[in-house]
Amino acid sequence: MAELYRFELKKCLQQKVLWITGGILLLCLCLWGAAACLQTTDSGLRGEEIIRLHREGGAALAGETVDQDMLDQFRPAYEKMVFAGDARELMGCIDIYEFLGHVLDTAASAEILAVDQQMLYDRLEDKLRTEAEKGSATEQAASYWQSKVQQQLSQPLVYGGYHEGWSQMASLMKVMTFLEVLFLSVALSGMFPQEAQHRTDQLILSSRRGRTALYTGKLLAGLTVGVGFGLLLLATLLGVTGLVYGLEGFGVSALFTLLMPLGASIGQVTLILFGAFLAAAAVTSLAAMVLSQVTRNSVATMGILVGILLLTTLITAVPESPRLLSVLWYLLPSNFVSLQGAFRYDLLSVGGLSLTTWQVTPVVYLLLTALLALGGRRLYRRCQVGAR
Amino acid sequence: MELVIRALSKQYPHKLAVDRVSLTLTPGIYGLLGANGAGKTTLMRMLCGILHPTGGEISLDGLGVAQEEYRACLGYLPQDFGYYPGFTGEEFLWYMGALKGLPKAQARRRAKELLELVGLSQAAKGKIKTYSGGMKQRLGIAQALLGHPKLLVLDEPTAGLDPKERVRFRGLIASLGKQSIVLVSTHIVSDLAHIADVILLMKDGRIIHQGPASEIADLEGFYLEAFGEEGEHGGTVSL
Repeated sequence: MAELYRFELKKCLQQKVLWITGGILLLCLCLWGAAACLQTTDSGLRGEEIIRLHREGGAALAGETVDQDMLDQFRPAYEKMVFAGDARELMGCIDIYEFLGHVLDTAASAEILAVDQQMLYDRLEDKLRTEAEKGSATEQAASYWQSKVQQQLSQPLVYGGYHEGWSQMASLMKVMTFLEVLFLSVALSGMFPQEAQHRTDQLILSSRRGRTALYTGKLLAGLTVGVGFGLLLLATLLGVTGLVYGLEGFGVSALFTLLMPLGASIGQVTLILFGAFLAAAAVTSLAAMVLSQVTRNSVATMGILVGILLLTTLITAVPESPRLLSVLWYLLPSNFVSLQGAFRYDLLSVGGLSLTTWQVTPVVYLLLTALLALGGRRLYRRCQVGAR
Repeated sequence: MELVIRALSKQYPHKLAVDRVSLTLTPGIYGLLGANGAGKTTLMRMLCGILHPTGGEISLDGLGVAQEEYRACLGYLPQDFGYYPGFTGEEFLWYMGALKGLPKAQARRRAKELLELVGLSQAAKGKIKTYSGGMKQRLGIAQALLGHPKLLVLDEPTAGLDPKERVRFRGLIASLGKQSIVLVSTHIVSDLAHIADVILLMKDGRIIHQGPASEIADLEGFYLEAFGEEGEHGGTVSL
């Protein structure tokens, strides 16, 4: 088995198109980082200067409570940006003002300038409770999330400091999944069809292990390539983000980025998304290989995978009812691996435990991976060589 | 050792490719002759378990064609032999050795022996895409012999070989026929004339002749007569 796995991996990695595609996608990620530094905003500040100011200001504010004193302290900086177009001072507390904008659901400067501590926390509580109520499908889920809101707001919020790196990575996970699926559609769509293409299928299917151990070897090789590239993407993302934005702020409350009473930090949320991404990479790798077996055509497989990917990009929301449609929609890796997809208000009760979407879906993915492997194996054992 | 083929058939939507073929083969060399489209390759593919018959059965010493143990006894060289261009000759044999279930060390040893036997030792570390047609065919023969097969199925094995290589190949196959069942299909009648113990003629999916090669003085003439072609002596005879 080990020998077969090694040779299947070699066959996969010998594809030039795999290296070209992978290289281009990794380059895109690096260019994203470069663009963040080099771009110039409307305020005339370069990206790297904005990041520096943001970082310095965040460090100075770290540990401060979000209260009336903080709002009063930074109001002049905000006024300067609105009336004079000078954003330098605001950069240091931009997290607070972006948070205000999300809570108030507005970008209108007049409303943001008028907010006080009481209004902020009232609106925050109202927003969290409304979203939890709207997003919960059952009374149990609604009750669970309402108690989470209560816990989250039991004391005033403390701003943990600059956390732009983790925030950017969490926001970028949907794009990362897009890149991964693109890569898999190129790298693995030929896993089975290549044998007919090379005319080696006759030798393989007539050999002792050609219908049994070889299938496992191919799947393992495909998983290695798929999850391996996923790890490479994550490592590149971490590296580029670390260089451009820095990796401080792991422990800052995720509430500042994702208005949801998770009780988790932005770093934890990002790591959860990383794990979800790798689980999605595994299931998509299996799906690509089994699909290539069914279609017996690498181009058709690629077309189907990219088609589904484009669909998930074009359709940004589905109705909550019928429920099955929205559950299936958010099961798709390109939808699930995102802040909006992984952190939803759905709850599954299992033996008295309430499990959230991000806890359940990776398990579903692993089960699906096993089912696809077994189903594909049954198909493969019945394979025959057609007339040519 | 016995290969039993009982009423084997393969029906396609518009053609009956193999029509109730029944044979019992014991160790020796069987030459399978027939025109293009006679059903030779279809028959061979069914014997190798890569094409499902629509009727009949195949067994080798009681082992069904679907069983892994049957495929463990099999060596097959298809008509359109394929390879991986990026593999070297020896890597390809190691891969095929792993597919045949040979332990790694044994596979490597056997691969070295066979590369020597087919005259590819010098080219073993070269990529297959650099091989000539004859070299590729010799590599195909080598992979068919990897697991010391009891049943060797060779479809057009001498295609692409030069006369010297064909003579060498005949000697190799002749030695194998003592302990294994060797089924060779070819259009080069002279190859079979030298090595086959039994001649099988196939036409329109059926075996129309089965008999010792020693009883046929002029195999080519016999073949041309059997398929209604004009022979050396003139005139046509149809069966």
